[in-house]
Amino acid sequence: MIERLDENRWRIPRRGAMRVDGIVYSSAELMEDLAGDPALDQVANVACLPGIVGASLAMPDIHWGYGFPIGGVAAMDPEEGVVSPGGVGYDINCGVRLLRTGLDREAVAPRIRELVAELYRRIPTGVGQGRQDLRLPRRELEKIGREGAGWAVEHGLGEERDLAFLEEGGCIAGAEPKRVSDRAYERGRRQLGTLGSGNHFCEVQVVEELFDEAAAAALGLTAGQVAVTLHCGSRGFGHQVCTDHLKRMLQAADRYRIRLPDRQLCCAPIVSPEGREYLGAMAAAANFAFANRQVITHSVRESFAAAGLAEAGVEVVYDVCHNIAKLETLEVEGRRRRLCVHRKGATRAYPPGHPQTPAAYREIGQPVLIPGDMGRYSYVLVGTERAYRETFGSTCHGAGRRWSRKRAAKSARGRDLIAEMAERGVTVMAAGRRTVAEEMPEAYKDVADVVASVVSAGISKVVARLTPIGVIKG
Amino acid sequence: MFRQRDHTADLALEVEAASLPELFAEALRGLTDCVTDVAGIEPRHRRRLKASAAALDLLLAAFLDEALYRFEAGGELYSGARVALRRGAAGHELAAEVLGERLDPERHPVKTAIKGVTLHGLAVERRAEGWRARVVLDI
Repeated sequence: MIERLDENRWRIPRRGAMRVDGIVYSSAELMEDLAGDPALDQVANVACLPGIVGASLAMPDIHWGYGFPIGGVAAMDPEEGVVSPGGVGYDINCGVRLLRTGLDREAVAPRIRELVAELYRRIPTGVGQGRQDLRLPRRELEKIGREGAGWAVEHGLGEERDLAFLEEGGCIAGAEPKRVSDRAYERGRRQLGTLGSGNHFCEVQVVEELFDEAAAAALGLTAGQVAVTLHCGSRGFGHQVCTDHLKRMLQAADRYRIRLPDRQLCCAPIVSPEGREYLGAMAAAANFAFANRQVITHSVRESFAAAGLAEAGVEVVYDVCHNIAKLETLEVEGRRRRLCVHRKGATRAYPPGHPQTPAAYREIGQPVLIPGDMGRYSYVLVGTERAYRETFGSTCHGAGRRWSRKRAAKSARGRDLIAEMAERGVTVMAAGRRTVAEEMPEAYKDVADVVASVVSAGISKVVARLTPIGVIKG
Repeated sequence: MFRQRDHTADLALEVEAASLPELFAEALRGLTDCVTDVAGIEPRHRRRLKASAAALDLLLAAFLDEALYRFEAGGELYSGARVALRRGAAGHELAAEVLGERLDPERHPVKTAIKGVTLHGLAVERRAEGWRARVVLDI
């Protein structure tokens, strides 16, 4: 059962074990695609979790996940509520970073092949690929877990000024590296500075269109400018943290008598030892992800120089998490409250004037980075007051898949997608042809529809659209 | 026998076998086949894996977690297993002898990376004829 609330919002009324309503932000068109989709049941399942505040939310890019839907947002009361590793996912602090350059399309286009080749050579991509130049002993990995992106900058992999332009300054407080298992450290040892595979990428883009000149100017974005977007997370380090704590949470949920509509939603009270230990380990993994994107940023800078684009002037625009659980102060029904916000495939979208937003952006709001597919475009948005009040300061995170990977692979048979992409003006290098097939543009919803939906709902404002000219993938 | 089922963003593995030990062995082959063609993985090395859990389906997840960790940490994939199951102090216990080799991208074209073995829809069931399992992998 789902009822329309207004132009952009749909309600799954509270019933059965649900403690709150489910609210889905979506246009009528996107909602049509969702008819009968298990993702909507997952919104209702999340609404059953103890201590959930307001409503179980879903963004317009919602799709079927495991446990939480992808595109789900749930805020929990820190005293009465629970934290769920399934509400964050395996790829803890999977996120997006946008870098701008001082170069325009004309300067980069003649060297795009060299640039993509340099990126591909320096940033390991694909299954089982580790860094040969960065093998980290446990002591260093623990420091990375505590310090996040700052660790990389301290080691010469980035500039001090980069840190001001990252969500949480590139370091989530409260990390407890001692709650991270030996196995996670083993998996993370060679993976800092690597992309991974699947939908992760490093993309060279051109700022194609500006929708808000003043906001774009504040972000240092101009039409025709070359930018780089990174999408990756905490690699095996984070995957193992999730795996380890899911097992503990399953037992904990039983012990605390929490009824689970889906075992992947297993959770423990935030105030319990299991809850606190997960949050400590999760923060360490999130910090690993911030450091990961920072090291890759350094590799991007090196790649521009090596491709003969020495004066590229690569600067960080912003860096967002889209798989995370964090204690944040938000406004709920006119009252400021401390809440533990789970964002599973959703992005923080703080309004203008928020102290957490970098000073340079304070008048425009927090930048929100929304990657699309590798053939079409990505968007830069900013957060709004309405998002802060209505969606726990959250908005969408990407296009969302339209086709399963299998269907995409089938549709790619007999086609040369790398050549097709080249015809569209995008130079692609990838570790596996199959990844390129699975990630083909048609496999994704049009991210423009998702963006239109959050803009229409007033939970984000659109600033710029970027189109890809070069991509490396796993 | 295993089959990979469509799940929009993830991958579901469905496994059938005549006996429970064979079901576990087949699930392991199915996991390997998500990463690369399992037929290409030669039985060059023999390893011992152990797992335990409170329930059979959780034991299957723990077993696959163990294999996934071995792959992530040491690059090894397995194409065969001899599995022994028993009830013990920790509930269900498994001891397996697995056979396989290190992934060599030259010989083993990679299909996909697996981030984790989820508990979503996880099931191990006895059927009229043999056993059946379902497990969703985050990829």
